[in-house]
Amino acid sequence: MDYDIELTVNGVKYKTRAPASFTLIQLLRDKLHLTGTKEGCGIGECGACNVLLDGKLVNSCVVLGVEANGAEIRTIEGEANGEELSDLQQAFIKHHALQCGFCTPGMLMSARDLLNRTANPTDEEIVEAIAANLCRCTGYVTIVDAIREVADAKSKGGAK
Amino acid sequence: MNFAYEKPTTTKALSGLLEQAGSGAALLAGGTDLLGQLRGRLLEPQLVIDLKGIEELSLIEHHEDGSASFGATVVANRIIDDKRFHGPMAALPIACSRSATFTIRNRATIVGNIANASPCADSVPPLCVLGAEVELRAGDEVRRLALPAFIRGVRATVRKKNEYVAAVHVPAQAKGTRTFFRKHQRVRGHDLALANAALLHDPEGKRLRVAIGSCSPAPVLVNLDDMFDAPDAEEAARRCMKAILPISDVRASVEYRIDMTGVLVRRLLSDLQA
Amino acid sequence: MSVPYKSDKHQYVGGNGERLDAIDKVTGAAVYAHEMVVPGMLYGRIKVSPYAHARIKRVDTSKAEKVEGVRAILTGATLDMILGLYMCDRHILGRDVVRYQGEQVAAVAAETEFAARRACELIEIEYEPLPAVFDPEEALADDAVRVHPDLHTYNHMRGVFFPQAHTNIAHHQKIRKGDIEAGFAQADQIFEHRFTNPPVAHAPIETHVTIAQALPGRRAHIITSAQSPFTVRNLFAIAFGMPHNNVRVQIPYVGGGFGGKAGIHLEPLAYCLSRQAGGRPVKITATREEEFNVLPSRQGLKTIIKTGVKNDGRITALKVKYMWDAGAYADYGVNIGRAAATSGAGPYVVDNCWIDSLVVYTNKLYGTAFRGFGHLEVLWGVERNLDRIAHALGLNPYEIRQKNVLRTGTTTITGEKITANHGRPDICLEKVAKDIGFEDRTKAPTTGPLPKGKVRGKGIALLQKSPAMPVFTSCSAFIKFNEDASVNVLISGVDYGQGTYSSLANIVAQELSIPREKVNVVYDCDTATQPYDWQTVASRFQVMGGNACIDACHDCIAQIKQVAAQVLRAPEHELICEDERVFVRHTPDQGLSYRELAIGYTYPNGNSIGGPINGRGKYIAQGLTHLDPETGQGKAALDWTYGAHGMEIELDTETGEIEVIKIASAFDVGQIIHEGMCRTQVQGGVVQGLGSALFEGFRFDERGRMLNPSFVDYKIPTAKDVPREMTQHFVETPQLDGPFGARGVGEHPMISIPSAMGNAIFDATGVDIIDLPLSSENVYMALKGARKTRES
Repeated sequence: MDYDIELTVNGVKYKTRAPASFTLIQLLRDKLHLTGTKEGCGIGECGACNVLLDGKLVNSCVVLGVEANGAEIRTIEGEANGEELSDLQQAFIKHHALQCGFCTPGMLMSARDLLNRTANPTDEEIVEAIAANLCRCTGYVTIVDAIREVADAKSKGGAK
Repeated sequence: MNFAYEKPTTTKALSGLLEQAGSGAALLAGGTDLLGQLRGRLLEPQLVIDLKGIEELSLIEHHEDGSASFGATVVANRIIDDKRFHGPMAALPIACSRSATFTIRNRATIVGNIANASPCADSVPPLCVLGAEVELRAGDEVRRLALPAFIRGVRATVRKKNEYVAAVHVPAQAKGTRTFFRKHQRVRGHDLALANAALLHDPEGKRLRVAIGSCSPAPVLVNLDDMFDAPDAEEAARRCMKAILPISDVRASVEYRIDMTGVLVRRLLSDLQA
Repeated sequence: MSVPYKSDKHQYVGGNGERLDAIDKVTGAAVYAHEMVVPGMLYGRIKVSPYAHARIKRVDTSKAEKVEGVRAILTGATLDMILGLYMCDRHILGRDVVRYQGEQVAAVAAETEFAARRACELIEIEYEPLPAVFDPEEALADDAVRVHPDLHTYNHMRGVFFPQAHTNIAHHQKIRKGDIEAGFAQADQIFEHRFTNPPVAHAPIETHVTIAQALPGRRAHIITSAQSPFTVRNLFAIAFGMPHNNVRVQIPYVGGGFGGKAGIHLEPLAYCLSRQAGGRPVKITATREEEFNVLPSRQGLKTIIKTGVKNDGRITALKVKYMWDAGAYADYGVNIGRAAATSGAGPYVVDNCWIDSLVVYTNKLYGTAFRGFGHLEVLWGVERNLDRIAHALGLNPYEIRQKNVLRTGTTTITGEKITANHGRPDICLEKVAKDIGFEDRTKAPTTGPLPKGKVRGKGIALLQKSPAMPVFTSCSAFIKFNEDASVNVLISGVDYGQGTYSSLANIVAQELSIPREKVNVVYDCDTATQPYDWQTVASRFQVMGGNACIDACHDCIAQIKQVAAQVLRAPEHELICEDERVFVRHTPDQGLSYRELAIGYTYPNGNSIGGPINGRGKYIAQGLTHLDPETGQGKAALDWTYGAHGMEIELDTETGEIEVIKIASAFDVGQIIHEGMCRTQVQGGVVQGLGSALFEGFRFDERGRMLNPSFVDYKIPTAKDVPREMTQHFVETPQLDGPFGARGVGEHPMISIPSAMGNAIFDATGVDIIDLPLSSENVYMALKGARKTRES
């Protein structure tokens, strides 16, 4: 059975149709062609599929598309402001906080969620925020450094 | 696989759907467990019923008498963020915070954790020592069961096909009660428990209770009241290690589970003294 | 005329600079095979064997054929094709016999994933289970189950690999140096130790994904998440009997490889499905479960080391038996057995050396290339062995290593003489030992009661690796100038995250003397348009790609000067190229910008000369030789990268849990080309090494079925597993034939991490652990066993 699903993604309204069995990530990638979000495991273990669903960080591979009917979603495609990269994106580039890049969208979503929730995260909170994002390449050090730099700048009142 | 999806907005509508569909329906709260089962074809329902449209099931209530209840769709992170759970009932939010990942906890519900009855469920040992009850409903019929009565074995509960767990009720705790939780994992990152345990210390009723999970088909409760005045960590550990029925599986051997149960219990008693 | 010229412009080598792919990856714009869609595409799904060893008795696809949307079904019966990089031992789909649980036996292509999956489920296969063998040592017994009874009939790379007929031995590599009996006779003491490594998963975050299309005219078009486009093309051409020109392989961004995508995997099957489906493209995306259970792993290893030493610690003889658990098929396994043997004594002087490296078939998931190519596995044994011996002799583990380490003038076990420019393992060791304060360590006793509570320990370990590659390995590059004097670098080594392109940009920008931002190393690898490169493995791409790029830059410069010489009326040797300009050295105002001649130079009157500047470069490994089949002597190594780790851990004796306090790592990299890429390779490799050390390993039940094919039970390191402190030290002894003196360092950081940890555990507790992983349960049980023995 197919269902009508209406949702807002990165501020843009979409209307689509999919079977109930479609997960949110399938909806985003296959129906809305927003392929920045990646599927790494399909069971909520790796974090590559992270998106914000009504402001909450979720694994889009364990949410059904129909559950997101009427929801507001933010994905990696909404992190930059047009051509202008966000503070996190710039910091990731500066610190080489990525290698193969496959975990990076999910990682950035986790980092963005952290900064949304916590004005001044401790190192421990930064590690905790990305602890469920598996990265096989970087060893995580540069990712923590990048997030810390942005968090420090924000807490000093630095502009985006 | 093709299933239908419904999102009722009242418990009456929910009951109606369950009556009709019976065993062909799967209840969807957080979905973090259900979607894994659907992916692995462990479950092939005709209908998935989303509980998140029913406001009543999303409530957390702290009653005047000190008891608390929370509905079927309350997610783990809400329990953790609710300061009022951090008193005598603290083992519950602590267990939640050690469970899965922050991301999963934005969706995963306590009721789902209990109703799936995986022996590793982290919320179960605290709820056992706290004397919590699940509220089962089918239409207008309501019944309450203590957790050990509700959970029969591995992924097996006494929930009937037309019933749903509407809420969990945690009774008011005696004055001065403290609860603790510990979990043993294979790794520093997120992991299922190899062994998990909760401890309750009630100075008023002189009760010292332990509940152990992940080491038996169903949670194991151990009564240590007799040593309340002089807790003996070694003896407590020994009794708990004898009470469990662990298996060897890919995660751990019987021997390691037993030994780590002993370690957890000793450390819980240390937590108590601290 | 010969006053040397040194430019200070555009000196990028050794510097940092943004990754070339960073902006694509942080915005989600990067396209991987994961999301590629081509017109008319079908979806493929695979059916696998539930048995570790079984005869296929009956296959019935009739129900599957009826599923709506199915366009092709293949089984082993209908597809008689054998693959193999070095040993042709694997059918694309199991035919007659299946040899591991997870082996591919059937495949379906359909309009939707759902239909393909449904049809796979409806294919009925009847099996007759056969006895199986799961342990490489058991598989060596005379009466062991034969995984490949017809081994003696298989095609293989003759003269390089030596399968042993009527055994389970896919290859036997020998090192015979000196006189082993005399060596043991000279020894004051002889030790024999055993060590084991389990098979391990690569676990790239992007699984294997392939799209293949059978085009009319017996051509193939493949888009795949892979490391080696030309290897895929070559094997395709051979397997399907096509001219190389008829096969086009494209590789977009790749979400990690670690060796698991080095060879050829899903491409032939996808192509065959496409052929069956009338030429419609077929996409196969491995699920995570398939990535673990179906696609090959890192081989397991059992090691027996017998060492003769003098009382002062000098090694007089080393005899090693390596028993590689190749799994059901040989794939890269035979080459790993070969390569690791040439390194199999560690970076030490061993005049009398006898190594037998046996690659053994078992009925389990087969092994393939994995970062380190056998060296992490080998050095687990070698470095633990040395520590045990040090302790038995009452010697300092640091001193015993410095006593035996390779130095200028000494010879390796393959007869290669160490020069002043090989690299300095002794300095690497010195740096890490100092960094972690190795002198001040616990030195827990080995008798009496075990320590209680949380204890600390320090361990050190050396490492070495050279690229394991054929004697003819080469690389080539094209550099083409654009109208605005920016350049595109076309090279088909793949940057799948390790950052080599960003390093090559440093080299090209410096050699051409242009701003780094104007260098575009093109990320889409395409065998149709890019020049040949061997494979992106072995930590050789920066070296060989760097050299090829330098050669191409020289070609560009030569073309620039040739045109400029005419225009400026000066001889070429008096021209300097610097900062996007070519000018007469002694009258610098007399010059032209690169832009003026990038696609040809036009005189004021309209005469045009020159044409587009397109540079061409290449590099082939110089002076490599075949190894003697009996003695293993020869020169197989392009270069050697030496390194060391020092590790401090805290161990909870009550639970066996280990927290890593600090890891100090040092490598002699010759010359850092890009500081950030070098440093981050080390960080990433060290943490991946921690996974192998602490908890990674496949588990199988008594019937050979994999028990942990998911992230639930196969854990890889998370941000919480990162040590409290990690430091990186780089020694720069120039590699004379490397680009600017550089060597590779991609694989090396994970090698010897488990060794250092095993040595640290020994320091902390006096307990020797010989099996990986050092999981909390394994450590706890080892301590418990030791406690019983020591305290009874």
